[in-house]
Amino acid sequence: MEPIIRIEQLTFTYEGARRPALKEVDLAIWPGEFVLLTGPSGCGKSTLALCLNGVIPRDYPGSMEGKVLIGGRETTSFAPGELAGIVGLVQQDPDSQLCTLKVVDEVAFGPENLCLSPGEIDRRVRWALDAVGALHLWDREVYTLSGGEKQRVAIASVLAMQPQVLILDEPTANLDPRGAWEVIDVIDKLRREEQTTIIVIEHRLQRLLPLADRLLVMEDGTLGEGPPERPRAAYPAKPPASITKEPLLQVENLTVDWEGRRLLEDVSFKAHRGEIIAIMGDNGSGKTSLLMSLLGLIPPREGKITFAGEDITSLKAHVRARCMGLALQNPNHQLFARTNLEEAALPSRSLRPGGADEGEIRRLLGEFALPPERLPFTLSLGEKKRLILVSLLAYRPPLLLLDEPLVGQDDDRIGELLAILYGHAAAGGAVLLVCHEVALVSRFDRILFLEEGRLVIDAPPARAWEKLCALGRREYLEGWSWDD
Amino acid sequence: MKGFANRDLLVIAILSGIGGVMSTYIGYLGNLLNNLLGVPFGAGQFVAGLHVFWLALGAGLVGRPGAASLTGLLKGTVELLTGSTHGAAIVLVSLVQGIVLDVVLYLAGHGSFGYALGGGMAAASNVIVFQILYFSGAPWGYLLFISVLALISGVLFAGSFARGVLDLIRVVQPTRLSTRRAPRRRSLVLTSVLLVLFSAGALYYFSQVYQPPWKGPECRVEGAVDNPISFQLSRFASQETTITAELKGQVTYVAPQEYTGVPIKAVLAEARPRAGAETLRVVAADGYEVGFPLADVLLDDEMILIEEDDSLRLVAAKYAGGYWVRQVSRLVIE
Amino acid sequence: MGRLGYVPGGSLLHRLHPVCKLLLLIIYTGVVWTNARLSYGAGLFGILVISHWAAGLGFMGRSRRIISFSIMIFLVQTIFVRQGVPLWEFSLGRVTLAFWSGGLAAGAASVLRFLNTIGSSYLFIATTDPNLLAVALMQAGLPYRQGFMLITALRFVPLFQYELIQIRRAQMAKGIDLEGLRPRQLAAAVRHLLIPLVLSALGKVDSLAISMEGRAFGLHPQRTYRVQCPVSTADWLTLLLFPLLLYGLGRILG
Repeated sequence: MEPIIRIEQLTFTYEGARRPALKEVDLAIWPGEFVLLTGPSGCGKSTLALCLNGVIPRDYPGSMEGKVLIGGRETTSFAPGELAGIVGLVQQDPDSQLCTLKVVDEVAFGPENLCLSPGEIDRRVRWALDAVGALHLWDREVYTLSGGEKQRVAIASVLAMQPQVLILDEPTANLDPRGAWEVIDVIDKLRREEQTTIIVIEHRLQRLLPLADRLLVMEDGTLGEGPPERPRAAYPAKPPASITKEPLLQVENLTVDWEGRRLLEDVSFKAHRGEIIAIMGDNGSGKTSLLMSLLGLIPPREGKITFAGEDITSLKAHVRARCMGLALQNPNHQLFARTNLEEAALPSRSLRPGGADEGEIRRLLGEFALPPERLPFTLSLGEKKRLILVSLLAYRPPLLLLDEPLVGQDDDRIGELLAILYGHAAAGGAVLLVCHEVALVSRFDRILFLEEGRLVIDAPPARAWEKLCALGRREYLEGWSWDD
Repeated sequence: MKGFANRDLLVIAILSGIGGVMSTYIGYLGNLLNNLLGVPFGAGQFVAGLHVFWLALGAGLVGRPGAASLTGLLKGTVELLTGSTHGAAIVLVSLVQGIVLDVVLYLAGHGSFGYALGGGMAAASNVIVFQILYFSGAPWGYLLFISVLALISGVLFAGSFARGVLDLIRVVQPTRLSTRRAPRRRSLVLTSVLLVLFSAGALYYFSQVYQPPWKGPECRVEGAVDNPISFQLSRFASQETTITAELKGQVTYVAPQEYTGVPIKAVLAEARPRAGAETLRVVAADGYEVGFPLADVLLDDEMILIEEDDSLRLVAAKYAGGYWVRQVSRLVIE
Repeated sequence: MGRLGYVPGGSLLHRLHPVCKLLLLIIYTGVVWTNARLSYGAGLFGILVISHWAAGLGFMGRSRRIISFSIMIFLVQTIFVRQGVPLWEFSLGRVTLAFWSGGLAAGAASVLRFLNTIGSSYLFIATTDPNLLAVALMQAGLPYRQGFMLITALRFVPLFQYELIQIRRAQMAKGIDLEGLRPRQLAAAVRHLLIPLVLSALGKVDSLAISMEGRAFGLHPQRTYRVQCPVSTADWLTLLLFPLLLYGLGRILG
């Protein structure tokens, strides 16, 4: 038997890059194999995927040496699009890979481009949607789908091409635990029921590793066979801080509607100086809405918000921002200035009495390894998130509201960030942050768990995990990415 | 069109999508400005350039002629389908902006001058399109005023700001950009002279000369009258009369025939010449004019205005051919 | 969020072929734009109201901007068009405003023209599934690579609306509020809004191109479609009778 994929001494360097993204990679993958590919971010995993479907070197300028053979034929000898029916790629971001308005049209898109007959197109759409357990989504509009549903539709739309090789590049990275499980179940089903060769690129190995025939580990552009080194040291515990009796923030019966939808229903809780509180829940359960409502970005329908004993329910957002600093989830929506320094000083200008303290900002930027004069838009995801955090710390609001601040950070960085948050709490501040890493949030003071806009758990971690199991939400705990 | 790569088309689609979404927001900004400056409308033209901003990005990122027009057409269609308050008119407005921008960039090149001029002209073109559609009666001064506002806005937003954003995109590289070189500029001086002439001409034409095809010819009575009027013949339809007259000119001769029209004296009766007025001057659109003693005119039953070739003509049976003024536009009493 | 203007339904207008409806819209709009007679405008307006009723729709939405633009059109025409007889006149300091009968008529005709334009467009988009429109256009001969640009642009409209809201919220979280700013600050705020929006949107192009080309987009000059949009007798008939109706109305209303 011939390998379906054979890579010989592949080296690729992007135009303008100093070092090659891939170095002398050799690889053979056999038909029907299920291969897991892992490695730290930026190690060249995605570049390898793009080499397999022929996008590199065709569409990306750079220099390539060595050979990539699919079914014994070099990828460079295929006409553009000719590989489409042979190698299918599902990418990370569920939103930017769907191009039509309705689910059925999305899945039919590929077969239609292959000029198949309407009957055959219909058959394939049915089969592909069934394979990902999404036949019920048939008539839905794409924008109304959840992240997990979008990703399943994306997989179906590639499957409908009936590729011999299916590559999934971090298909769960942008999903909440529930969505991630949906997608992993689909991958497992495909592995069992179809003949397709499957390559999954993934950080989070826990659940996929038992399914895989082989584990490949990539580091710095070179490829080796697993198992990976046992990762990471444990996260530092939160030092004991004096937690005040009087609440810093008190939320009473908060109900929030937006465009006819109920986002939050009757939410009540308190946060005290010295506390770090994690907010958990599915996408769409109201985590982000809660943070935004606290700041007044979404007006409440009912309820009362008290900050340091003062009723702030009717104050506008740009006034409330003085006492609470919010970092939204997607940093790309929050960067405006031309340099890191300017960006970090932006909130201080309007929110800090006396304006921006440049010395302090430079110190913070240094601490977070952010060059003051660099253009913020060119930073990596993790760096952007750190920059936004710096801009908040620079004006010292007592309450920090952080939406997934730790996504995209390396382990060392997470340790540093935790130290900063602990310091903020010790200095008499409080932190509310959205985070799904159980190992991490176990270190915090309390967990708030939201389900469809209702606050169903408000308890210290150990107690919260018990309650989660009682609610039947074990997926949040099952050693999702790291075990303690 | 086949020259556009898939990636070019996607860039255009994406820009049209945000452009369509943003137009509502731009309307809101215009209102904010109106409130800020305390005027009910007009200041909104300060943000007119923001509508062209997307087209300028399309032209800059794709870098070939036709990109701005295609972005304009698609953006207008997105606006139509998402429920623009202007309906189908927005497709026309947006397409015209794209074409103007494309033409200017083709002529002047993709330098800062090309974007500033093209952005300004494209933004101002919306004033002209809307004027043709809904504001046919607006005077030259008003049009000039809002066109200049739109032009400035276009120079700022679609010119300098869009150029800045294009430079930023080249640094940040959110997407792999096409490596195609922007076309070189043609003669700069020639372009600007042509464009200034063209725009001044267009503005003059639409405000002073252009008669929308649905309007009949009209004429004004002015000068020493108590009731200055502007009228179309149909207004005096009840007083229409038919006379037989013979045209005896120095070169032309038209045998006696019947003419149907409105007596001048009926028109003047409505305008009520003041006591002491002596002369009627009949002025044509091309500047030709003749004078009559007013007293004679007020008694003359055989001096009528008729409609001929979409304009008004004076038939003066008792006078020589030279007095039969064509394209009458004004009756001046002195 | 506004999203798309399409209101699903089963009326005759909903069932007409999308390209047929597009042609009707073009014909109607063409007639509206080349005729200024008040009576004809009113007649066309009548057709529109009846069609809205037949399609089961209320007459247009979002009245505030429509009303303010109508008033603006009306005022400009009545103030500047001096035809017919002056109806009344008043002085504001050195400026004398006069309203002429012809100005009122021209104002009313222009407002009707505006209402007819947007009313017919609204009727079109409310009864036409944009997805089906694009597919029908491509099946009628529009090259599919271009046709899909419309679908893709519309696909991202809800996403961009969402991103726009997020960016405005991020600005407010940084203490920047648009209301009550001076023009200079307003310009900065707009710049700060557009740049992240543009960068974020363009950031989707690569992934989108890989996804579409990876599914054979552009591989063949033609493609097939799962759903066909057949042209029915009713479509041909409507296309034939509608211009006659407009012509007849024009004759009757002189």
